[in-house]
Amino acid sequence: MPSVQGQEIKLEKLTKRYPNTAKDAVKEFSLTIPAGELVVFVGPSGCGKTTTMKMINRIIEPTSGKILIGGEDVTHTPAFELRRNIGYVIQQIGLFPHMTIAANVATVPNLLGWDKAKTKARVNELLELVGLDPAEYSNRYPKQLSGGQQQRVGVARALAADPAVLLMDEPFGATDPITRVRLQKEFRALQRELKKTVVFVTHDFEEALLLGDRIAVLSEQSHVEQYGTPLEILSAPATDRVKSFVGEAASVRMLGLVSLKEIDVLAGANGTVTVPETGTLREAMEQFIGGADVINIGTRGHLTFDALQNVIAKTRSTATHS
Amino acid sequence: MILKPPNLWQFIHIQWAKILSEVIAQVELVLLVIAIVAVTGILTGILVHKHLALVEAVTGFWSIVYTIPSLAMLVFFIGPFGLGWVPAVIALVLYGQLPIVRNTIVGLRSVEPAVMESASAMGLKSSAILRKIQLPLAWPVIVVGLRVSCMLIFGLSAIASYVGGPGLGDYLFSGLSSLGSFNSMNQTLVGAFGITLLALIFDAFFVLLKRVTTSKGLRIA
Repeated sequence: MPSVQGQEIKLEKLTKRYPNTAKDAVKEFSLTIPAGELVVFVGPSGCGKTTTMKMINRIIEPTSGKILIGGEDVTHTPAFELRRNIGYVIQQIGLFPHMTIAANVATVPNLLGWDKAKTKARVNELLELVGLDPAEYSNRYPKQLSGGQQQRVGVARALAADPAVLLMDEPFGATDPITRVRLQKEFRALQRELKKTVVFVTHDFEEALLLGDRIAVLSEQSHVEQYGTPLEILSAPATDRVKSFVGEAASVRMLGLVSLKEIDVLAGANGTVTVPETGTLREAMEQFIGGADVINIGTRGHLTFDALQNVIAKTRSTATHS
Repeated sequence: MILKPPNLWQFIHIQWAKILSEVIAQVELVLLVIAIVAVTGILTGILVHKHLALVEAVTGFWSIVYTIPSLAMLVFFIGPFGLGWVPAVIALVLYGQLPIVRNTIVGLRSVEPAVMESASAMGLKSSAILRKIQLPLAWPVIVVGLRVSCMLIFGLSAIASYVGGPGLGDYLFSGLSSLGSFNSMNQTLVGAFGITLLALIFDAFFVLLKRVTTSKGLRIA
């Protein structure tokens, strides 16, 4: 099944004020999320990031403001119609315990009235996509699966009717660290293939760096402190709050985001150690720390420690001025 | 010659036709009442479960009804409805409400918030959420409510004989009121054991019903 690609999400002055509260939970939040990108809302707990995300499919109705998806104003579209085109994955997963895995995944296709054969084929395709063998898992029930497996089903269920937009609220937060990293990496690969527009909420900055095409760092009332690529945020944090959120060793983390394919290298193979060009500056740095003076970057050329420092300086200034 | 009263087996044998008709009447009464209670109780639960104030008002009301002494309640309905089935059915229906209403509400309200949220986030309308998600998940709890209601109704259906209600209660009370006289012990025993036996059969039915109608996904520990 050819996949529907993401649509742009535009949020204009989105505001949420709960009754009997003194101030807005989310105040005039405006942001454009480009089609096909994964944007991470990251911020301390209670900053309103989840509320903001849940206003996109109107699980929480905005008090005021506008939501545009693919250029269409959906602020007043009937909620059930809007939601069938938006995948939704939450930390608590929320699979339906009385339904089989296959029936869970088929929820939205059934709502949309797909015929049985098409739904079944789609369910099988999705279970395979998230790494669960349909023959083994289709007829099981959620309680018979581990937490990690359940969240795979959660992702499959969200993708079932091939929505243009995916909303994810700390989807991997409740899994153990090993499973989490695996799910994150798999999801990143999946997203690169599917190119959905994803809004991903987390309080884990590492996760934001790993997954985000862009990151929106939010503070109280969902105020956007900075909105940029991971590299921009690491190399040029816009405010003190961002700086404190990025934390220590921003430069070292930045190294992991710069591909060795993109940097300027010195011509010729001069070193004794070779780092494959599929790696990042981080792997190159590790070689220098390990004692190498000159390292080869795949077959592209070589790098000295001075050259590496220049690359870092250049990367930082590019990010700052973009 | 002193006439010796028959033993229990002989009594049952002699009275078989009458006992059978009372058993049938008893079963009919309980079935009728439980059917009315199931429909009204589950509907009440569905209608009020979303609003905490209503939930409290309704369970509060049926709790108060439940505390009215059963004889008083039965006698109360003789006024407007006379003796017979009608006051018995009305009184039993009122007594049976609390467990089923309460369990329906508890069942519907205890569906995990995450499950409710993902259902509505997938575009299910609230009627579909109720039908496809909440009711199936609440069903085991609702059946337990029905079972408790049913046992309650059985217990009180015996007393309903006081107002001319049908069933084995007749045996129980005519036996008790003439204890020491000819056959009175047999009557009492037939009434007491008969009702107990029927109650156990119904109870087993509800255990079975719960098992058969609960999704396998919920039965897994």
